[in-house]
Amino acid sequence: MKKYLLSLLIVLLFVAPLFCQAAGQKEKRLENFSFAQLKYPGGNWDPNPLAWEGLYPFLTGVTNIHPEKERRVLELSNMEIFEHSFIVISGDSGFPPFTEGEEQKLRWFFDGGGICFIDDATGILNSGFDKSIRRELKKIFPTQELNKIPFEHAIFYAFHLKPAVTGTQEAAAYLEGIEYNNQTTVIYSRNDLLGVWATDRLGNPVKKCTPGGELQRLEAKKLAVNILMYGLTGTYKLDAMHRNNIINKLKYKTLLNGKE
Amino acid sequence: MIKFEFTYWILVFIPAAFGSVWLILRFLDRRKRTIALLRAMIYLVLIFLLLQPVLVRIEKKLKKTPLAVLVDVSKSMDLKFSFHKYSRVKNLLKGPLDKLSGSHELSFYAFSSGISRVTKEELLKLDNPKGEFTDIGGVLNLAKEEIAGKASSNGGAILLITDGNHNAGPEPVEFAKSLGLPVSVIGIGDLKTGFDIELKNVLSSEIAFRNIKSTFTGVINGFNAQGRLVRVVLKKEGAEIEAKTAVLGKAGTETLVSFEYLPKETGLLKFELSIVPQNGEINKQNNRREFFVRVLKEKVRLLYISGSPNYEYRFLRQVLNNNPNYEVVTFIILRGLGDVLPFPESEYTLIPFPVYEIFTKEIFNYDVLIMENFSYRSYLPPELLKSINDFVEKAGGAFVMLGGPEAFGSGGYKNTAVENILPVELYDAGEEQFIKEPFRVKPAKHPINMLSEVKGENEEIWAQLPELKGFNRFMKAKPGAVVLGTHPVLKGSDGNYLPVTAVWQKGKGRVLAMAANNTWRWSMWLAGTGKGSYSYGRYWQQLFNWLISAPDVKQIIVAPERPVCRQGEEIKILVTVLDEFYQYEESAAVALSVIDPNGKTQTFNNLIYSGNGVYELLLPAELAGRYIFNASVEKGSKLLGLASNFATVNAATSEDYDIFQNEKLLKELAAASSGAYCDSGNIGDFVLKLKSSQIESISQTKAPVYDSPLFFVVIIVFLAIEWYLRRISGLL
Repeated sequence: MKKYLLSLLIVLLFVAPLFCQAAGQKEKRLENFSFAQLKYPGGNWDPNPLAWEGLYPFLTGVTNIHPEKERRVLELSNMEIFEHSFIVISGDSGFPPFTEGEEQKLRWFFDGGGICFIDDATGILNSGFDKSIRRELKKIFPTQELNKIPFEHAIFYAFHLKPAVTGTQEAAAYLEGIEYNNQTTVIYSRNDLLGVWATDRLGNPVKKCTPGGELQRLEAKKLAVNILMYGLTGTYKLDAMHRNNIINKLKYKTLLNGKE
Repeated sequence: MIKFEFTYWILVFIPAAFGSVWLILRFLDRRKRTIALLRAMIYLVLIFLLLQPVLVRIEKKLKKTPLAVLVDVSKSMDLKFSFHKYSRVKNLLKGPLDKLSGSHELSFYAFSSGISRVTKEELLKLDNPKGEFTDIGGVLNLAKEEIAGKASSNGGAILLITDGNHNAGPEPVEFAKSLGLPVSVIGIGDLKTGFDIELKNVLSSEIAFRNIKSTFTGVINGFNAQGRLVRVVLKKEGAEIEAKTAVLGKAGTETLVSFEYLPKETGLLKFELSIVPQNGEINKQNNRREFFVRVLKEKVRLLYISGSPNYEYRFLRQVLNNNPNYEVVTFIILRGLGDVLPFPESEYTLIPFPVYEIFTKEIFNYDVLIMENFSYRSYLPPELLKSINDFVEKAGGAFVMLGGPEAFGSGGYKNTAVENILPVELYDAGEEQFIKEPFRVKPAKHPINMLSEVKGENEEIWAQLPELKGFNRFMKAKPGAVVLGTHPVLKGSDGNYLPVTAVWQKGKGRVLAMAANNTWRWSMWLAGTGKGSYSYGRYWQQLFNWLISAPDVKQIIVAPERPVCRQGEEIKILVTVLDEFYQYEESAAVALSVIDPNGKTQTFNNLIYSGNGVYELLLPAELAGRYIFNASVEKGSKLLGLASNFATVNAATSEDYDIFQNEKLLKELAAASSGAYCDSGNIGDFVLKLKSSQIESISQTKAPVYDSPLFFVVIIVFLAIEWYLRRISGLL
């Protein structure tokens, strides 16, 4: 027995430094992404408080995105929004109009090159949140409209190949967006996309996905990752060198599914 | 005829007057009736005067028609085939056109590229017209402003006397249509007989790129030359490059002959396209054309390798994409080697990283290589890094390494070939610190760091920039490196502040080392101040300009406003002066020496400052050929810099050889404006037609009646009689 314990100790002595080194490298790693969510007065700014906890391990385990572990909650009353270039706005009810100062900050955020993902967590069309957010976007971009984002857009190829537009609900089979500063600066989902990530302490999903169940959840997860990847890499996947690869994979997917 | 000019309220007095008369006759006795009638008469006279009567006279008479005679005094009017063109014009002015003076109000104008009012005598005194161009479209446009308004109200016309060899300015037929006046034309010059081949035009872009094929297309017109075989020759700077043959189509159709040329050098190149003249051709001078093409360096190709998806890439890509001269190819490591893909590989758009192809071959097809937070260790052996050295030192490429935990020493570049070309010394992988504490970059005074030309503004912008978060700690800058930015507190092993951004020239190429990869924060924060993120883009643009040795980073630039001018024009030469920190220099001493095409040198010290660092000189281009400009700029006793450039002055225009008359154009002009055309050899009927257009004018004059003293006298007399009657009747 003593012999075994001694052997284990010797092994641990050799292996421990390796773990320490690995831990040290993790520590040194520069986070290149933070999940920054806007907290606005009135309404419910955080309908999926557990979403980031579900999304974080997926991003770190599957992609080369190195996010900060903690979610950042931003308010428009200070300058913190300008520390980020990708923010999330979510909600499930109407909210009062932003003040002129808050609108101005958002406008400058977009001027600087920021991108915003908006998620209507109601998963129904023409919800109170939908009306409020459209009203605010109209004030920030008086000359621009929310338009359907075509399926040729870089978002649909940023990491996963052409995921379906869905969430916990399927209110709209398309994303909407606003083009500004040579990029899609606003990406709007009405399907409660972040809701697919929310899990309880045992890892079970908090919300059911209807009507497609777990397959729908997987598609929604792919789309969410693609949106974050677009926030970091822009239209990289539309470069000419990716074209053949994407076309071939699309053909293959069509063969598998029998449709596209 | 008498007319009344009155206001209508006067009319209410008329029934009142008639009512009064009726009451007098009806109710008063004879004497009182007489007195009342007298008063009514005075009242009526006053009403008459209030109606403001005027006497109108109408006269009718025949009037001379205004006729603007526009005479072409361009150089081609001095040419002779069977007759001298301008002598024919003088004969017309003295003979048939002189007869028009009885029926027309003639005004004479001389035109070439402009128009000026002259007398007939001045036109007759002229023997050799010398105008450089014939701009019929422009002249008709000027005529519209100067004479059309006056003439059209009187039914006037324009008489154009020209050979119709329009060779400058807008197309004239459209102008003739919109003129609103008939343009009658007398065509001067022989009509084409025999056969002729003309190189009408050369279609080419004024700009071409080195190593990219350009196409030059000659447009050939044949006159009585259908089916003829022609040889077309392309020359560059006098040396033949290529020759082609073509068969001419039927009259009225254009034959196109195209040449492809691959420019190998940059600069302004002079080309000539010519058709080899044939025996019996009536005009051999219209067989060639010179043209100039400015060859620029081809697009700058950038290869961007990013070790992970991150904002720095997205923001830099925006900056690079905003420059149309840049072409960016990117590889981003979207998935780490330890990452697990939960779906089948076909569900991802990931592509393999062609690392061997890139580092052994492809790299040399680029001008700039950017490696951001990228460690080679997982992808290629260190020996292949040698190609990056060759790319910079031998091939003259630019190399950029941006920071991050996988860059510089942390990325394993210590003691590799890449370290040799970096302007900073690195720590070993285990020793290099990646410091996350925020810090504000301290900029050095250097042109690349200049974010505004306005003095004082640059410091303000840098002070507004936010802190960077995270940077690789270098050991120190290497000797010969130019440190552009330092840490404000930490020092390197040499005791100097730690370099954050450093550049240098290495062999033929240039290298930038930047310890951080989160300058995107500058863009966001600047926008948050409400001033926009322009300075962020400008900073990176300047860095790239320096790396690729773009001309924009020169302190002194001398350039003609137009690289190709025509003889007789003025060349506007602009000398742009920036001080050593790239701010507009307003008080420099600029000496510009000009070498003309004959080799004669003239120096000018009197250039005029026109703002934004620009000094100007207007130089008359009297000679055809190449003018060379050498600018020397000093401030105090310090030389700021030297610069050279040139402009080409083009002499040959079709004015030198257009001996015939362009009958087709002249007929179209006349038809478009409802005018008439005739050849100068058959003028008789034409003058008769112009004569018949005399017009009748009607004039009307008005003389006021109401201010005549006669009415005053009449009123006084009536009042006197009325007073007398009342007196003798005892009614006073």
